Amino acid sequence: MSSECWKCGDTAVIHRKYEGKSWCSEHFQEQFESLVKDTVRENDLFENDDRVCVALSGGMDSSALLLFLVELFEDWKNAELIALTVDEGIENYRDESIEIAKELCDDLGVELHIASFKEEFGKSLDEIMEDKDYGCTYCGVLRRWILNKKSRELDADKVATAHNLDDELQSVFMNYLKGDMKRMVRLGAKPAVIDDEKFVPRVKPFRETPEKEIALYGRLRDLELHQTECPYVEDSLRFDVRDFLNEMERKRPSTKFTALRAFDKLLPVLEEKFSEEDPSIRSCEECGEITSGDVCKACQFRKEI
Amino acid sequence: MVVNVVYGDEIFQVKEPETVEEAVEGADVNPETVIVEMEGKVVSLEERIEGDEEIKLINVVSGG
Repeated sequence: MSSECWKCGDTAVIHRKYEGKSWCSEHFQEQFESLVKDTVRENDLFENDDRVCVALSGGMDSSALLLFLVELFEDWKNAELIALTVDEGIENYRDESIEIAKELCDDLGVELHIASFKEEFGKSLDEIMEDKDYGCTYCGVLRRWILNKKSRELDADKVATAHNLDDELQSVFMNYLKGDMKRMVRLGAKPAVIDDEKFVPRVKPFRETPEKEIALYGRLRDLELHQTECPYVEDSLRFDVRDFLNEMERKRPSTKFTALRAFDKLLPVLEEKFSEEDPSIRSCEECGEITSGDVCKACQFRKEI
Repeated sequence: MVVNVVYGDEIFQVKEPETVEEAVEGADVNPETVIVEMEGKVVSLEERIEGDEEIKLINVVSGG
């Protein structure tokens, strides 16, 4: 016997324990889009004439974000969308998802740009990892560096990333566990903007959307699922926090939303307290990109690799 | 009644689950981390299981 959509009685594809309702495919998609639009509106994520660069990995989250924004921007006559994929150079992993990104952009009529570690840093991540142990450390820093530089070169007003509710909460808990309260200020749907022309502000339309629901939305919209795991993935603090939060959500539905709302109440206080302690932003002595030190982290890594 | 739960390369056999959620938990998988397909269609965790079935779990948790 099927569980039924509370709105129309059709077969349900999801039961949201946190709200006690089941949804069919059509009404789930409709409501999913409505909630993301709420996030966009309530946080003023976009202007009508924005040129927005979507950080597109070819994974489900960023593919769903691109699809959502293409449809959202259909009504925004002066807004523009482009996509940027960072090719870290991970054989049998990133090359697969880049193909997915290319196909999706072709289907949606979105201009895709690809930037690579090899071009920017002289080595692919595979080559970097020949004599290094912690891939995620290098990858995260170098990827963010490329994302900012390339999106600025592409004249983007904003970079839209597919960070979801799970990603955001994991970061909140990780920073708390590491005692890094200052880094918390960088969270939020539209993180505190660095007032520097070299910085392209980032926005997170999926910040209040559970990872599972993005995957379901993508599945129902026939997006291709890239399931290969990155070979450099580490058993990290993030994984421990992720598993803890998923277990809490299983036992106590709505935990994730409650925790995010609690953090959102704290964020203005944290911004007031810790923004003052931020050193002024300056240009990296080596590459000219923004940094809070003399030399940015990407340039420090560039020397190591 | 036995339900085959396919998760990646593994197949778990779960006896007498009444719902999809019980089958997923019987395979020792957190239902929060997967979407479930039965006969090629996405189904809710509340879907009742009434016979020998095969369900496929799709991991939705990002791993890198």
